[in-house]
Amino acid sequence: MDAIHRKYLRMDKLPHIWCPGCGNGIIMGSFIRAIDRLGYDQDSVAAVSGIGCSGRITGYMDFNTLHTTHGRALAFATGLKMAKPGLKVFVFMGDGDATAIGGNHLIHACRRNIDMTAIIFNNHIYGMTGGQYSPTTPRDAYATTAPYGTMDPHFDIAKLCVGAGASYVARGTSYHAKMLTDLIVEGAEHKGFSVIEIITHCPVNFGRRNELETPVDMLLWQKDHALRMAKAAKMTDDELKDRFVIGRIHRADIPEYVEEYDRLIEMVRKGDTDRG
Amino acid sequence: MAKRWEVRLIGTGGQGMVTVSIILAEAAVLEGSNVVQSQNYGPEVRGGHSTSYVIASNESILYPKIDAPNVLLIMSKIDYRPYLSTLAKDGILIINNGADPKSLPDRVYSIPIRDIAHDQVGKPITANIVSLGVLVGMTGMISEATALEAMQPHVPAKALELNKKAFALGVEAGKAALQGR
Amino acid sequence: MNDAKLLAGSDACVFGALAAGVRFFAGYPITPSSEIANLFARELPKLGGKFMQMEDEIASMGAVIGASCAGLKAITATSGPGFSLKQENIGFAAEAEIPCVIINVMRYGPSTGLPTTSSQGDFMQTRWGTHGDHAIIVIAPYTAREAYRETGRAVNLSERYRIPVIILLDEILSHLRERVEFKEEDIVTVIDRKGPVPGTPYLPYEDTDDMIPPFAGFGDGYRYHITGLIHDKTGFPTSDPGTIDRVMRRMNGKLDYYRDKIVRVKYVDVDNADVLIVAFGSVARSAEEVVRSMKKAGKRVGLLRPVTLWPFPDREIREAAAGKRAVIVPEMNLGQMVREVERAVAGTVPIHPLNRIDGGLITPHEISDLIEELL
Repeated sequence: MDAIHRKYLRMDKLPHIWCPGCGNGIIMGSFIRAIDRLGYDQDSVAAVSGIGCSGRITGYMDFNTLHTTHGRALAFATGLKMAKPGLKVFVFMGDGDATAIGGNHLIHACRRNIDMTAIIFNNHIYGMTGGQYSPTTPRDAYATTAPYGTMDPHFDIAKLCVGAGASYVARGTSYHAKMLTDLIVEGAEHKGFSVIEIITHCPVNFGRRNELETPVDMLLWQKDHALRMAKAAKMTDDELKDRFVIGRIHRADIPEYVEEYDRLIEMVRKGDTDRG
Repeated sequence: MAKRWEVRLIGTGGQGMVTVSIILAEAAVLEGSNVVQSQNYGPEVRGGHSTSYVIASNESILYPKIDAPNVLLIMSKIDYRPYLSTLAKDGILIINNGADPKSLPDRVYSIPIRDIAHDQVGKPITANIVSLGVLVGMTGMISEATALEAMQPHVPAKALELNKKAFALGVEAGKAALQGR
Repeated sequence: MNDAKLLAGSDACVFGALAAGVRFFAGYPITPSSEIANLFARELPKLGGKFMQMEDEIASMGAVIGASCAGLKAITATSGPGFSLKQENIGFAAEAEIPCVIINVMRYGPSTGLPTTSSQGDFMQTRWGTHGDHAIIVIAPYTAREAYRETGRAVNLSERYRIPVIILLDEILSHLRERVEFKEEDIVTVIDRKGPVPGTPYLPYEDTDDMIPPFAGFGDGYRYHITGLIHDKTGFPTSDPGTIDRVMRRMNGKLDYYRDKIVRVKYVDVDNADVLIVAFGSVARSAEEVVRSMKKAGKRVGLLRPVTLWPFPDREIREAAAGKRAVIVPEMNLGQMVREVERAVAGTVPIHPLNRIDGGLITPHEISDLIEELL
């Protein structure tokens, strides 16, 4: 453990509950390095999480931390940020958290464009409950609730968020840990709602059932299937099958909600009644 | 207010009859009475059936509903006869049409409220304010001046004169109906 | 606020909340509570506060808790179906002891029920709607004037005791407008939650003598953890049986410890009455008319009206019922509060439920007819 860990982690809460070989620790490492690079005062950072393996991350990091109900982290974070706009708000969710039970909150957070950063741990499975398939489990993959292979088509989280109007969307992996830090920094500095989807690995509940026996196999799978945007642009649909783009995917400059609301307050207090 | 007034207004959603009940209630407050206004309505914003109630009295009022109104105004195109038996002993029933008074039972008054708004005011939308005038003209439960004061915030500023006219025509029609008996 | 005015029950709640310092509302439109959201949307920005229409009922409860974690006084309003949806997050607020107020305008249920029709079917749900033992306070005003004062009190109770408070209205009371003239006793004071003592180590769930841990707002320089997991005094999850027992008894024990400061009951002609009516909300309006009209007829009827529904005023009811010929419990449901009255009276006085479930308000006549029968 080096200084950065001692500064940003609640050392007395370790060891964490994550399984050996889990990707969550890599993400946590990338995140605290991003915060360090951003230079944010720990007192000004709020980390909000939902339920599931990813949800436990808030307990281990030394910020203002809020571990909410399943799927609702973005809703809590919305109130928090509106109430105290000076807080730097990061919202940690799993794929089930963000796109199944909390899917409605995700698309509306994208639409609203409040300045906070959603960090989605996409391990393609419900890990904590024992390996049930999630909305991002690839078709035909095996899960405890799909003993014959899943038949459900899956979500592309980054595409979903672009479609819902998020002003910044990026995708990283637990293999490309340095790049992940860069993406978190860029997302945090972006004014508006930013989404970082992270393809991560759950060796115990996904890999083991899907011919990726070890954590290393899973990381190598990420390495082999991830593509930079520029490279992907030159490839045919056939070549792109089963592969995914990493890096910044979308960025747009649109009005930020909290600032807009502050303008509304100013306007109403002056006696004006029409935003238009 | 010497008497306890129990007014029931039946209208169709969108006619503005709930607004009339609120204006009556606010006017009663201005005159120092106790008042409770309430309403029932269906889920429709337009076209459904709405009933509003105004109870005004010098005594305190708790039970907000009216079982036997002493004024019942029906704006909707519905048969008034089933409602006749709900009236209080001294109650009157006002219906919105031009039926010959001689063809109606004693306590029923017909006033062509919608026609007055359409033909004389020139704006069918003011029918609810005509009905406010009718209620004030027939009952005197509040003064005309107070009714106008209470009406003002509920109509668009640019349509104030038009609504004053609607109110005056309603008062006139209400008084005439009483005398017609 | 000296002049008389016509005020709706729903609007009275909004003004009462604002007077108590509420500066955040999050909600989702639902009949018959939408008027409350409408007025907050208009009024909050004038005070520098914020209104949010969220994507659903669950999100609005979450946003209210989030805002409260930052130290803002926060409120939401809903009705039956939405109240059901909010229950999980209400449980979070109870477990994490986050102050917040939920206005529930009762409509006829279950399910979609009768959206524009009144009911008192949520009496038990307000107390036991979320899973697990938890502390919660429920207050049911019966006039617009009282709705103002009691919503203000609800905010203050929640801030002071770190317990979620539910204001229980019904469709009739929310939608009626009546003449209100505020008096000295209606003034809503502003009570802020207790903060940490500067210079001492902060334990977010400290087992203090007053049983109420000091609250630090996020961003105020105290970095700590809030979770819906059962946690120890540091705020972090625990699975130690002794600790679990201790913290859960403290959290739930606040209700017992502060019961007399929370419970509010109104009495009308109870002392010399032969028959006692116990009623709340709109039904209490009918009941009080009965007390008045029967008094004129020389009959001795009293009303005990719980303003605080939970904690249930069992002791007050037991004392008031002593020696009466009968206790009548009229409710717009199939008999929910009557169970609590039965528990309070414990067989010492005959109890007569009066239940109406056709959507109509129980009339004074229905109550007086039953009393005539009993006398």
